[in-house]
Amino acid sequence: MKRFYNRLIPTLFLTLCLIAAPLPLMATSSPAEGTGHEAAATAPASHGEAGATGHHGEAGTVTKAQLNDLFWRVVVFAVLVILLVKFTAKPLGTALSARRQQVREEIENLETRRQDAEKAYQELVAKLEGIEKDIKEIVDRAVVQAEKERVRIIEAAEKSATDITRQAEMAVQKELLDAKRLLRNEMADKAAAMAEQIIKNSLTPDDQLRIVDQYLSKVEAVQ
Amino acid sequence: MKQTILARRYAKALFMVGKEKGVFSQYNETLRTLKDVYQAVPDIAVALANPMYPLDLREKLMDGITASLQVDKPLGNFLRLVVQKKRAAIIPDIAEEFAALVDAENNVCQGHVVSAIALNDDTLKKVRETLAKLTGKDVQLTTSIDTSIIGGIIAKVGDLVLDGSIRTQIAGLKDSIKGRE
Repeated sequence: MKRFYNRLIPTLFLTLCLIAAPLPLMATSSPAEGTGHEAAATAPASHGEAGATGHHGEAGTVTKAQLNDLFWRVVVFAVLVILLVKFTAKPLGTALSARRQQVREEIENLETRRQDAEKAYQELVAKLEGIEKDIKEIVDRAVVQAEKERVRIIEAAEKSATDITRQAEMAVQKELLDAKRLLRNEMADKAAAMAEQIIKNSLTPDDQLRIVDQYLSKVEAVQ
Repeated sequence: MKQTILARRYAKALFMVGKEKGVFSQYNETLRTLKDVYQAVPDIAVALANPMYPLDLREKLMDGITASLQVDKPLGNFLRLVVQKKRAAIIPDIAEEFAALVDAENNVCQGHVVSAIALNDDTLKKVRETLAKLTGKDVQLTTSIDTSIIGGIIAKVGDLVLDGSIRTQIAGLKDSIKGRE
């Protein structure tokens, strides 16, 4: 690009010089040209008159100076065109080609990026769909597990309640048996104490001897 | 602590000598007296068995005892040997084992009767006869009174125990009441 400007600037300078070159010539021919202008300026005014008077052919003639001017203008323009073509065609073409290539590459790059983005978007969408599916699956599994856990907790609670009830019943039965046993023991102790006291008070020496005799008779009988 | 096995060996040896000479009953009486002395005067057992005292002094002490009891020479030598072997502490056990051997030789066993009141002779005779029938031996009874048995008797002969006391019957009745569901 810099190279292009380096060629373009001298070219434009040369073009300006060429354009400026005929100006002295044009300046030297200005009186005649001024006459001509005047003639041209007066031409329309007299044109009507000429038209009216029939002198139309004399007013439309081209002078030599004008032809010379036209010639130099054409030459300058041709030189300008040649120079422009010579010095700017190739850089411009190259620059435009490079620019076109760059734009194409950028477009291709952008297209690639767009396709990548589209692909990533599709992947994300697919992943999102998969995630939703996974989430749904996890939620379903969690629900099933929670249901199982609920059932298990309820069963455990029922079993625990049953155990507690059974233990309470057993404790009650045990307390009842203990109370009965305690009462029976106490009753037996009191009955034995009372019997002992009554027997002590009522036994006479003859009763003692009779008891011994009865016991010995019983032992002999067993023997 | 009773040295039953050891005492039985000594008693058996002495009994064989006494039986050979036909004096085991006298030996039995002497040993029983010695046992009573041990129980009445515990210092004698200490003096005879304590190794801190010289052996000759202990032998002299035993000689003095045997002389006072007027024992014959074999029994005196036996008692001296017991002292020399440092077994003087088990002389009461030897006496018991010797008495058992004598009883076995005479077909006699020792019995003890506990009663709530003093038993008359007829009752004691009946008890003795009953125990003799049970053991097959003549029974020599000793008696004691224990009012806590309330009534009846408790007779012991060797390992045999006959408990006919009112206390035991009441206890059995109490146990049967307690044990019944």
